[in-house]
Amino acid sequence: MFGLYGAFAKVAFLTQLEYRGQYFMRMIAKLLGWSSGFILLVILLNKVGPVAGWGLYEILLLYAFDVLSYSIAGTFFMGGFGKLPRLIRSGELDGILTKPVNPLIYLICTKISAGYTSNYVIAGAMIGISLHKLGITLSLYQMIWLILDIAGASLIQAAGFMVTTVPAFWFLKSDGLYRLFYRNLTSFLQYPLTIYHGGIRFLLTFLLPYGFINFYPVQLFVNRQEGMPSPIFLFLTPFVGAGVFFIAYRFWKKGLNAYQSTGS
Amino acid sequence: MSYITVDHVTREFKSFKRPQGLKKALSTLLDRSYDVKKAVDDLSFTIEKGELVGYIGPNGAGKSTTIKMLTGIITPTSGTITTGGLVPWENRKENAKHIGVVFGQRSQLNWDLPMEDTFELYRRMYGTDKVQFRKNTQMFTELLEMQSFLNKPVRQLSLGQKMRAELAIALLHDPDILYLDEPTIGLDVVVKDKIRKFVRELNREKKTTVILTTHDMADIEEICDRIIMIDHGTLMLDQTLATFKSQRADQYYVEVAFQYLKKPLSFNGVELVKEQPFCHTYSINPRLVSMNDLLSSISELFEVTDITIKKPEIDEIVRKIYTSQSGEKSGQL
Repeated sequence: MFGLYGAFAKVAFLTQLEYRGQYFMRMIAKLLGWSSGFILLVILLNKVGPVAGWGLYEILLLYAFDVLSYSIAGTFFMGGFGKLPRLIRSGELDGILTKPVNPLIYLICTKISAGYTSNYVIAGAMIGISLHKLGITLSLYQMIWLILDIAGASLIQAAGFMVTTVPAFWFLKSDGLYRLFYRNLTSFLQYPLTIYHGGIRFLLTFLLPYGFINFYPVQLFVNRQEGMPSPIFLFLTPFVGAGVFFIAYRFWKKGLNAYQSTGS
Repeated sequence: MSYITVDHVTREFKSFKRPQGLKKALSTLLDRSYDVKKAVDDLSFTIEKGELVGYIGPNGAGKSTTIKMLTGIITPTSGTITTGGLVPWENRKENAKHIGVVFGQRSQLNWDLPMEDTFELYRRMYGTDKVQFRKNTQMFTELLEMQSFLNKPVRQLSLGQKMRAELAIALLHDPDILYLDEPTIGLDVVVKDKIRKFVRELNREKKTTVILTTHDMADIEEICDRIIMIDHGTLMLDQTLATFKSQRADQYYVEVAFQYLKKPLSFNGVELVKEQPFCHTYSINPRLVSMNDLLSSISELFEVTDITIKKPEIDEIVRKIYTSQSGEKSGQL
C-alpha cells in the first residue's frame, strides 16, 4: 500500500521538476526570500546585541528550526491544504472520494510540493553554522533528539496547516483563519518566547503549542532552561507533535464527514 | 433483491438566505436563517445488473446529487441505498473498487502524465490483476482508438481524446457499475458516436451496469434501454425506452414541399405548425386522421415536390414533459 502512495508522490514530485523554468524561478524566489530573512535577523541582532540573553547564533538556531520544520510540513501539506477550498469547489475532492484510497494520504501524495527543497539546504546549513559558531558538537544522543525534534516540530506545523484550513469543509473559505492562527502567530517564534508577555507565552505553549516548534526543544542544544515550568519541556516536542497531529487528523475526518453529510 | 436499490431517499441542503440591503446583511453575521432545500425528495427505484439506464431531468433536478449518493461521495439525509450489496457511503473504499465514475465536467487525469503512466498508477490503485489489465488496456485502446495518443502528456490532448481516456481509466479495473455524468458534453459528433458505441459494446461484453446522466437525448436513444426521469428531486417517470417512445408518439409531423397549392390542408386532427414559402409543416393526430386520407388530400391540394414524415424525437418528448412540469403551457414544435 505504501508503494502505491509512494508512486503517486514520486509522479507528483517529478512532474514539478519537469517544468524546469518554473521550478528554478521558485527556487530562486524562495532562496532570496528566506535568506534575506536570515540576513535581516543577523543585521538587526548585530545592532541591538543579545535579546533576552540569547546571542545571534542561538536566535538563528531558533529561526532555522522554524524554517526547516515549516518547509518539511509545507512539502506535504501546502499543496493539498493550501488549496482545500478550491479542491472542494472544483469537485476534485469528489473524484478522490470515488477512489479506493485513504483521502488524506492520497491528497498529500498527489499534491506533494517540490518547491521547498532549497529551504532544507538553507535551514540545514544555518543549523550547522550556528552549532559550529556556538562551539557545540552534538553527541549521538543529541543527534537523535535533533531528528526527533525536527520531526515533532514538522508535525506541529502540519497540524497548524490542517486545523486552520479544514474549516473550509464548513465555510468553503478559510484563508482568514490560516493567516491569523497560523502565519501570524508563528511569526512570534523568531525570538525567544521569554521576551513576550506571560499571556502570549501561555497561548503559544498550551493553547497553540507553537513554542514546541523551536523555543523549547532548541534549549536542549544550547544548554538553557528558560520560560519552562519543568525541564521535561526540553523533551516534549515529539510527543506534542504526535498529539496535535492526531487531533488535526480527527478534525480532518470530522470535516470530511460534515462535507459528506451537510456539504454542498 | 435488486442490484441497485434506492429506497425512500431524501437529501436536503441548507442554503443561507441572503437578504437585501446592507443593514440586514450585517445582521446575518449574528443571526442567520437558512432555507432547507430538498435536492432529492423521497426517491425510490431499483436497477438490475447489466441494465443501461438513462437518468435524466432538467438542470437542478437532483441528478448529480443522486449520483453522488450512489457513489458514496455524500450521504442521504434519510433513506437507504445499496449497490451490489454495499451501502456506498459506509463502505466507501470497498464500494469504490466496484464502480467506475466519469464526470464529464471535470477531469481525473494527471495533466502532465501520458495515459500509459496513468493507466499503470490506476492498475496499482485498484490492485487489478496484470493479465486482466493488459487485456483491458488493449481492448479499450482498440475500441476507443487511442493508439495515437497513448504516450502524449494529457495536457496536449483534445477534449475528445481526453474524454476517451477518462472512460478508459474509469473501466480498467472492470467495475460492475459505471456512472457517467454528462460524458458527451462539449464533444463533436464523431467522438460522441465512438463513446456511445463503446459503452454499448462494454455492456455487451462485460455486463457492466451503466447509469448515465445527460442532456443529449441522442445519448439516451443510442445507449440506454430504460429511462428514469426526475424533477424537483422526485421520480417523474421510469420506463423502458421503447414504451417511453411508443406511448408518447401520439403525434407526427408531415413536411410538404410543393410548387403550388390550391389551399392549405385544414381539417380536424391536422394543424399547420410551420409555414414557409413552398413548404408547409403539419402536425397530425393519428387518431383523427388516417394516413390514407392524409396522403390523398395532400396530392389533391398540392403539386408536391417532396414529402417528409417525422416521428417526434425523444428530445421533443422530453422537452414537452419538462415544460409541462414546470407549469408552463406545453410548447409546440
